[in-house]
Amino acid sequence: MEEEPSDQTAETLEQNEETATPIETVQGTVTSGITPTSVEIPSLNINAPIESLGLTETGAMDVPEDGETVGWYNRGAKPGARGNAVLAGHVDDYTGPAVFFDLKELNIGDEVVVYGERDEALMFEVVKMERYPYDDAPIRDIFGYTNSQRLNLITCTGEFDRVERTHRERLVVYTELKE
Amino acid sequence: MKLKRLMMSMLAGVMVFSVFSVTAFAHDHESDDAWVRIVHASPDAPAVDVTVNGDVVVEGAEFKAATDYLELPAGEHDVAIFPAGEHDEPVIEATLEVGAGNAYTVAAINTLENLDLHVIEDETSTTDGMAWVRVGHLSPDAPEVDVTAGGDVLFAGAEFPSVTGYEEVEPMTADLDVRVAGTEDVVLELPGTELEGDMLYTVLAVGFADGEPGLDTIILADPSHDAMPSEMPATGMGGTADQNSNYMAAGMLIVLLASGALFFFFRRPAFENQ
Repeated sequence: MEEEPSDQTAETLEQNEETATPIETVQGTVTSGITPTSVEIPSLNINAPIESLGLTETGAMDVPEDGETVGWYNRGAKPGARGNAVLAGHVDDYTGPAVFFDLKELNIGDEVVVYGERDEALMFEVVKMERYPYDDAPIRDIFGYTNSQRLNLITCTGEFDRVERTHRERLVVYTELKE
Repeated sequence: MKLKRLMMSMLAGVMVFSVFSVTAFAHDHESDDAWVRIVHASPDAPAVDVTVNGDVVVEGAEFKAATDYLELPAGEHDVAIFPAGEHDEPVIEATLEVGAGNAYTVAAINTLENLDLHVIEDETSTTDGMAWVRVGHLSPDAPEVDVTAGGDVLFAGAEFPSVTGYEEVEPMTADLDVRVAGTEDVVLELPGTELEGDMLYTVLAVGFADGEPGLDTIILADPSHDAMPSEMPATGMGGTADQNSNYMAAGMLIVLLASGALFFFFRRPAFENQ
């Protein structure tokens, strides 16, 4: 009794190999993102141009020179692709509030819209907000690979450390692509 | 959608995990820890929960789901896979030994009846500017295959269950085909696959060649470790920080002047390049 099904399996396998020639081609799934040009956060009234940026000489993610532009980390994922796409914006400039000053006011579920070169629009939703010490953030979780289609927004928060000349903390807003 | 909910719960799993590891390894994650991610590549197995040392790290992962990297201390860990929500009897259990600074992909492979854990060691850095690609044959009933890029054989004779070594290629958009080994019969095609510089790609062929769910791929695209920043961006200049003394104001002026000088010094060449 037990031999029969196993024989069948062997037969099926053999058949498979024999009939391998007319195999129907399957198309796999590939996700690719967009090259972002601007970002809009309706609940905070933010609408800002995006600049493509890499690393500084010391290996930090580079930031825009002015307070009104948002930087996209071009060595990471594109928004919409699987992985972590990262946008960074200043909380303040030398004289007052900058583009991401109100970022801490976001709530889980709020929307972030990213526009691409060909006017594509992708809508993301806030799923998590975390604060980290400026020198001890989980870089890999923020910049590394993820199977989700994530967009992470970074700005500074906490006290401004005049010795280190940087805010003591970073705020990371994790968002995910809405279907 | 389903997948999204699943990813959210995975994220929750990762978060729970990070809370523990962050407290234990505040300043030294990279050197003392290992990174492990889990892929559900058993086509006929149900959704699963995964525990590491008894802690649930993944909930309700379905076929083709991959977790993000979990941070684990170097050493031995007990990994167990359960049907989602039923933790009485694991479907499979294994001890995983991980080395400090190494990354691993652990795939649950083969049919449910013959479920196995396949441990793959991951590279984390490419040669500067190059793309590294490897392919895994994790389809239990598919024949031996070749993988071609733009018609040229990139990997030859991959058999179930195996993952090839990495091949280094120039960044390109490639038409990747999976063919029955030694033939031109394409079983799976991935047209227009973007292979970017400073990225590592693991292309896993999963599913049944004959049956449902059919053949598909899981593509894991990891930025090279060197492509990730070593520091967070400096996203503030201090203009809204409290200024409650003249001393502070003076300090700020110095900062302002110093940054201005640096700014000029570093930025000027960049402008010339543009």
